[in-house]
Amino acid sequence: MNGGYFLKETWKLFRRNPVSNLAALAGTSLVLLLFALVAAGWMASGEVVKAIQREAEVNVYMVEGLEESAYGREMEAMASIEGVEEVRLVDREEAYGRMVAILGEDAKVLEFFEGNPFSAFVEIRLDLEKTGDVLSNLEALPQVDHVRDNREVLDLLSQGSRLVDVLSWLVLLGVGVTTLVILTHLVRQGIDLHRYEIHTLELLGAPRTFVALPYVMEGVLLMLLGGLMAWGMAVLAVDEFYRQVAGPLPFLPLPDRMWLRGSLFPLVLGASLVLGVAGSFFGLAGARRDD
Amino acid sequence: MIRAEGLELTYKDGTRALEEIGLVLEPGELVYITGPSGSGKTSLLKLLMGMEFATGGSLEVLGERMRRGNSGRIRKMRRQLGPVFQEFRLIPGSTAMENVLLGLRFDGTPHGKMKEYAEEALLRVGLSQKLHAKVERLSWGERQRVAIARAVARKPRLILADEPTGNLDRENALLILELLASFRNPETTVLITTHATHLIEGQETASILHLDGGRMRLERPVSL
Repeated sequence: MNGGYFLKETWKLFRRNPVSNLAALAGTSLVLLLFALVAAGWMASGEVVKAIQREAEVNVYMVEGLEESAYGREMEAMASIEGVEEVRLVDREEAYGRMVAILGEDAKVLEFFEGNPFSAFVEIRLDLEKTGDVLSNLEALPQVDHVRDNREVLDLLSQGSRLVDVLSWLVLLGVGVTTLVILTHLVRQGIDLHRYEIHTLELLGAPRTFVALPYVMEGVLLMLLGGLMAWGMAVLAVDEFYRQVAGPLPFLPLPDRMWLRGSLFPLVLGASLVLGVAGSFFGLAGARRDD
Repeated sequence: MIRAEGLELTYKDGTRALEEIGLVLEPGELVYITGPSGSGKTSLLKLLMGMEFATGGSLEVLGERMRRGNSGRIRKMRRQLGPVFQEFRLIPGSTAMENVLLGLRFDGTPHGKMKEYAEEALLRVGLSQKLHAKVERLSWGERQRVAIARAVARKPRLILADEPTGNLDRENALLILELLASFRNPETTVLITTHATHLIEGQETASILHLDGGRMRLERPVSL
């Protein structure tokens, strides 16, 4: 009902103290940018781990000298192991081709070998939950020389991802505390500058919510604006990161850039909203204690 | 409307502002409280508005007990008051219209009626040409009229005016008193404090109370 009035009053609060408001806007947007970047790293690393997990497979190398024609029997035995989902033979030519694809321009190094240095192997896709049992059963097969799996890489990535998780929570805590302190001071300063108006409203019988709303709106809108700016800067940073990574690390299974941009938007704006409301209420509570 | 019994107010520094005040005001009365500066007029008004709380006796305004701890109800009660403050308490940077509208935004006035009530009040105080003038640009007397318009626009049950003639010449002071008195009606009581007793000599239909040294003396009938 009084929407126009509250917006006007909020704008008056901004105008009455522009330097503090602009400084608070710059501060909160930079702090939220930090949050957005960590959140982007958090989401990206989670997606990378998931993508690698999705592609989890083991390569089984047979004992030396085993003819490729004998692989069929062995592959049947492998397929019968519980947890094995797909068994496929990668012959020597395909193994060579894959390495050429991975090395790219550096594939010239393979020319120094006489002929094809790679041996055929069996590629197995498996149920991740049963990885341990599948590996034991594969290694127990008499014609199997060794099994290569990517568990070590996955463990390393998972550890990295957990580290990012911890860092994200720490940054979230830091962002929360910092923005709450900034907003609390800003709202209290606004209230101090408007004590006369506030007292007049109280003498006219204005409800507490009516008196407080412009100050809460000031805090919330400032945070939302800061969040929007932070998101914009984070999008630029993500774009730049993808450009930088596309060259040297093309095989890194990063999540879709547009998905990452889109996911950051509600996260950063949501955090801004929550922090804006909380900071404004802390400011109001602090100002009430000062009375 | 107002019931006070044995009302006392002693400030924290020990100053006794009011002593043994007894008062009963009914709807539709016009009451002047006179007395020299420091006699307790403003202190009495502060008690009536809930800006201070009595240190003795009891006070009821518009059915609400005026005591500490009753702030929520006192806040609601204030929405039925029409206060005219000595220093006006207008919102700087806002227009006359915005100031008058302010008092209507939370007192239950229907949204569609707010503008109409505000314009009507400003018209009655003679400021129909200055609706959109910022209050800083108005003269002292015009600001006072805006303050009166804000008080009466909400159609209050009790109008409380603190020294409305304070800085005015005799002619303008009489006009303001006449204006305030004109808002008295069977539902609305008007209570005005003034130190200028000579200005109210001709007010035959009003009750006059005199405060001196925090004690009240009856000058002319008021229900007690």
